[in-house]
Amino acid sequence: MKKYEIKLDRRNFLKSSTLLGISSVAPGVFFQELAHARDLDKPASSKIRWGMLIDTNQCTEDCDACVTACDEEHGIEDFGRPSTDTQWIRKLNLTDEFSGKSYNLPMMCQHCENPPCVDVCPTGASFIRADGIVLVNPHTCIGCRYCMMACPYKARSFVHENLENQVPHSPRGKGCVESCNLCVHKIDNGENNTACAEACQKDGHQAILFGNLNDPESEISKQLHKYGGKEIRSDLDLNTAVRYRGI
Amino acid sequence: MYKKLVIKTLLTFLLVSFSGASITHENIPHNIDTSLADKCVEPTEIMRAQHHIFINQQGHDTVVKGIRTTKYSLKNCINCHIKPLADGSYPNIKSKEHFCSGCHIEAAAQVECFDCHASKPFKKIVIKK
Repeated sequence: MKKYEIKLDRRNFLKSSTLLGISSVAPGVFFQELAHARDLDKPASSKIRWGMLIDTNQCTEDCDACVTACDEEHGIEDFGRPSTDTQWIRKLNLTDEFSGKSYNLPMMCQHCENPPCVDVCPTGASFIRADGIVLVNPHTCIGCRYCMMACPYKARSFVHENLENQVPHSPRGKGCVESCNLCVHKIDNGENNTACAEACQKDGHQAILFGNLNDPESEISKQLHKYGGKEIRSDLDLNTAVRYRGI
Repeated sequence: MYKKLVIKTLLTFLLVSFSGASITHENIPHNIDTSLADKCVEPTEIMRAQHHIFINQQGHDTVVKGIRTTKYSLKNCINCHIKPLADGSYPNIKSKEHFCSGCHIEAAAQVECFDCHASKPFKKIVIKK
């Protein structure tokens, strides 16, 4: 299956040859260090910034594999109350008023470099980890929900119900705010992929690509360099780690 | 005034000594999975007195820094200390059969870890939709 059409005109040829030149000149030693899985006793490194590139052209309306995979991975249960039920990732369908073209995309925490949720948190529970993942520390969260109001992406949920049968790698409980954690347990164990990206790849859509934005050799950096990736609400200057193609 | 103080002190001593007696609880059978390890990560006396400190520190390191060593992790505690009962089910956190609750109910010290954390070893669950 051909995924992307590449026009080989003068401009693109020059672009790709420059990229090739840079990557061959740059010393391999440094990049190799980034690619290795981190030891369990080492803290997350600021040399890495995890991110996602979502290709909306590959995302289809009837598929919700990413949402189901996320729910299963983190043990998110549905209580039949859509207005308050927890959601870490949701599917959106947007239609351009002018052209009538509709777009499908998954929406979740965008893991901003300058996150508004961290700015407003009164206890410091909302924080940004060294490798760029925006997290809630549930040990410190008092459930005030300021972050939910501050988030322009409506990415956070408050747990309203008593929970049972949580999965050990994703502790969740009533009275805390939570959101997508980029499957931080998988990253720390060296899997370096998220449940949603895995499910999307498994379903053959290849719409979600996960990787290290700081490593110019990673697939995500190469694709971002080649095709670009839009920030949603780029006017807010948040420098999100989740970027979209085709919108 | 001194009388009151003396009574208060005596009462405190009494309470402390009684609770001390109850948390030694040698009579409670500990249902531990010995197939995973032959002994705990620290001697029993240290674990009894300081397990909460180890777990708190580990919790902070894991959430904030991303350190995932298993020595003091709650997940590791649960994997060894919680074994299925005779009928194959895991003991409920509210019952005294649960390793943590065995002491915590005796000592009337509320344990809040399991409001969020899993109180039994991992088993894939089917999500109700």
